[in-house]
Amino acid sequence: MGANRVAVVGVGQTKYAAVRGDVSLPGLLREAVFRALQDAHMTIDDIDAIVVGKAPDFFEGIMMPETYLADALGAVGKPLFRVHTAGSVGGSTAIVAASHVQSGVHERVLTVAWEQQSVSEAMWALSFPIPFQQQLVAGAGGYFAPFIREYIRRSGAPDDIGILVALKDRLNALKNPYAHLHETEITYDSIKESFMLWEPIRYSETCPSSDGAIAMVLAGEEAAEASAAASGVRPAWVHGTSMRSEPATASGRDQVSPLAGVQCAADVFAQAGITDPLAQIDVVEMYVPFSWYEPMWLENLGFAPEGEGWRMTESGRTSMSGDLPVNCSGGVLSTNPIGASGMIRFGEAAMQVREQAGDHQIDGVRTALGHAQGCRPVLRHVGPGIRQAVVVPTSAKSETPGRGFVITGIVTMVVAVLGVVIATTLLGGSVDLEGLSRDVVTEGASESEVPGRIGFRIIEDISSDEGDSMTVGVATGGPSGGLECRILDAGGDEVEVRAGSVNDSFVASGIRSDWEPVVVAEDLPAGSTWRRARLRGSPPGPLTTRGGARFQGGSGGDHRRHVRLPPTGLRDPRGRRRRWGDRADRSDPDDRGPGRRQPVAA
Amino acid sequence: MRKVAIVSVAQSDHRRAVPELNEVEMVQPVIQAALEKVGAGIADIDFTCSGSSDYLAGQAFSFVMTLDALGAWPPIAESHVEMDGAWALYEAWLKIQAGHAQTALVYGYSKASPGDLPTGAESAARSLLLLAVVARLDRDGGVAGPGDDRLRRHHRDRDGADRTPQPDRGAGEPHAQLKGSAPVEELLACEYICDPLRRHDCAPITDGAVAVVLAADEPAREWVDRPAWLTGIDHRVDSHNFGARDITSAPSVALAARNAGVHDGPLQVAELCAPFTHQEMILRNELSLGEEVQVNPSGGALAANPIMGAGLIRLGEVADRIMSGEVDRGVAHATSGHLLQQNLLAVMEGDR
Repeated sequence: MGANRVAVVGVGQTKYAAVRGDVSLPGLLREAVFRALQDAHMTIDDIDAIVVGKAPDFFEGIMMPETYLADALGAVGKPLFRVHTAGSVGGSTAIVAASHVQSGVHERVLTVAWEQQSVSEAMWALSFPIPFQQQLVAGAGGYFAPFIREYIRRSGAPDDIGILVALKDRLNALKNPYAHLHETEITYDSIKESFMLWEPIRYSETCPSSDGAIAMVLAGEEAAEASAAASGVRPAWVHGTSMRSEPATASGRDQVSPLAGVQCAADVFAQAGITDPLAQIDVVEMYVPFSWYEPMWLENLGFAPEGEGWRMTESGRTSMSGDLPVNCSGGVLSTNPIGASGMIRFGEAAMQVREQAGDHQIDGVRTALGHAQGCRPVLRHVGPGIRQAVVVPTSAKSETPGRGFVITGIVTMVVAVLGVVIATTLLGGSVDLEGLSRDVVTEGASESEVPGRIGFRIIEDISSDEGDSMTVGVATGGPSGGLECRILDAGGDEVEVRAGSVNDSFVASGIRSDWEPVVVAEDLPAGSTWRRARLRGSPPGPLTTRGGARFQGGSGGDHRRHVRLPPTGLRDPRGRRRRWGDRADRSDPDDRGPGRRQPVAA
Repeated sequence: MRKVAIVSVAQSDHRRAVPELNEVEMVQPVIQAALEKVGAGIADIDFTCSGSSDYLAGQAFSFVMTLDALGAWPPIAESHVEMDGAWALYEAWLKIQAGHAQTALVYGYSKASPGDLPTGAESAARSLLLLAVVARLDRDGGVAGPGDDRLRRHHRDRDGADRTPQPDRGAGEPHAQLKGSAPVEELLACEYICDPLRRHDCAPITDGAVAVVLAADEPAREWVDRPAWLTGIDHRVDSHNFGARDITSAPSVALAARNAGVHDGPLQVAELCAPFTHQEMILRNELSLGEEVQVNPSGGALAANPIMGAGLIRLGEVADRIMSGEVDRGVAHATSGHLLQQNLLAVMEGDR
């Protein structure tokens, strides 16, 4: 017996902020609730049941707050249900709400998730006193950092992948009016120079502590179609939901890539008829509270082979212009009212499918994936359990599996306001690799890894008058702005680029994988240096420079003069980036360390 | 609606304090017992859901720890509500109705002993002072009060834990924390602990746990001879505001009772979750229970009240009586809130 169909027909969010002192807790919820109802063209009277979720009651100091919210939520005389599954609760709440409809018991369900973190201190609320937990664990970051270090060691990822994720998400957040953090001045270097909290997690690679709420209206088939007819916006049909939990003490648990996540993704993809997630899913909102979790979840959820997730991030494939945009809303890194964070992922995914994401909308989204995750720090010598929740909504009804809207959250972010654009391009070029060659070596990329593509990451000050885009960019560089790079598409036409200035300190991500572009650098002042450009393999076409520009090797010159070395020990005295598990440190090049495991079969 | 039944119930022996065990250690044997009664293992369970409170545990995300009591490896489909386990059962019931699961394990538990419930240290809404105010308002509103004749019946019910025949369990296995009762006159001669509440008007502070196995039609019949079919289940909420409604009534109880079909057939037993005596009077009124209905043969929440489990225990008690053949049809109730404002009713029937 199959479940009844359910769709997201309304999404409402509050403006997120560190402190929403202008509203009470019930007022905060109503802000989201009534926006969602308005979106669904419904009133509270149309709602059959209400499902709420939030993280620990300690955060607001109100035990079981739903017992005093019935009036504020318009729930009197209706079922009011309260979910709590730790950090994943927002996602779980949406899934439980979906169950209310899928069961056939209710037709229109309002679901709300929130956190008002300003009234407590989340970090210490999640830290337990010694001797009840591991030493040196302060807050969730302290708990997760060792797993990130292990990921870096296993995968051999460059040490700045986390910075790229944070930069991308925070820039995306600029396109999302609801996002908590709107850091218009953020740059690669500003993230890099932010202080180290839990190595390798820097301050700017950490989720904020936010106040806020999100609400969604879920509806069965009939109600969804009525709502769509009234609102003119297509429903985001839910094509799959799944939750998995694993215990703290299971022998063989892999906290770098939890089996719960692998199974959860496999389950939800099976429900949604998705056999090739990378090809079939248009956009993903995943739970990335600390920057490095983007590549980790990319692998865990099946978007990248083990150890390769960071390459997707680095090459810009997860940017808004990439082939798998991740967290266009800015993600948890830009907005984190813990109890709501999971549902925001789902709500943003639904907004993408409903084409309501505004400046962070990805064109032509048909299927989106939302993902939430949570776990609990250690108590009494026991590690956390991991909870995962994934929802796949589709726009099309079930007859076309995999072509539809995923309900769980994808978000796009606005970049337009910023002076900084991260553009990732995969460039084909040959060139004049002189200056680049050294980086090629130091990056450790094998000749065959990504044949014919060069990824440039352009940091800083690529600005544009128009918003976006995508295509990558122009890197204008040199201290005086003399460098210009253009990207040519496969047909040899120049892709429009933004003007701007680039100093030598950086590069960015984000490219269209379907291009075979060429980079043109012109008017480079003599002596201009690129801090780094990265080349993978032997480019098939020419990469030309004009104006006598010379790319300088990444390890030469004084291009790091602006860079304050973080206290990470990640750089060796030569300034070369060192990675955990660097092969040079090992006698057996195939040995990636004792912790390296084969992937666990799902 | 799919047919869904409770097929197994297990409880801890409820006690005032279980200082030698942590939550995981307290819950684990109960879960194990519930599964063993039907010869199941965690691998036979499609969905697991629990109810508990971080505040009582004194730790954020405390419930995650009990995954260790489940043997949840490889990972399982699992969820949690910060409500009484009866609502966890409702979530599991929805999952089965949706066809996402055939079987489910549900549990609720708490260790209230380390805290200070009567002062409201955990929750002002549970403080004795607040409940006393409500009780006084209810008494003045004509519901009931200490000394009311109707309470005499209640006190008789209360010591039922010892006297009620429990053929399915054996005489040696009462779970209740408080057994028996002094004569009513003696109780009424006791001093108030917070006027108008005397000690016997209040549920005890309890550490305990309960686990239940749910199953859809087919596995239910495979597992037990006489499943306790859930023929109706519904929950509703009322305003929590003192001034917003008549607090001598509980409209959500009557509404949920209608939706669950409580009176669609003859009732033989009712297990009501009323941690305070005045609440039981309101419940009896709202449910219009006839004289033939046996109320709280287990002793009810006044005999053992592991918060977050007391409601699920009520469902388990009715289910046990149906599975044993003692009764054919009964209703169980769970509640939340200082004004008795959130109420769940479940109707169960056995095959005849």
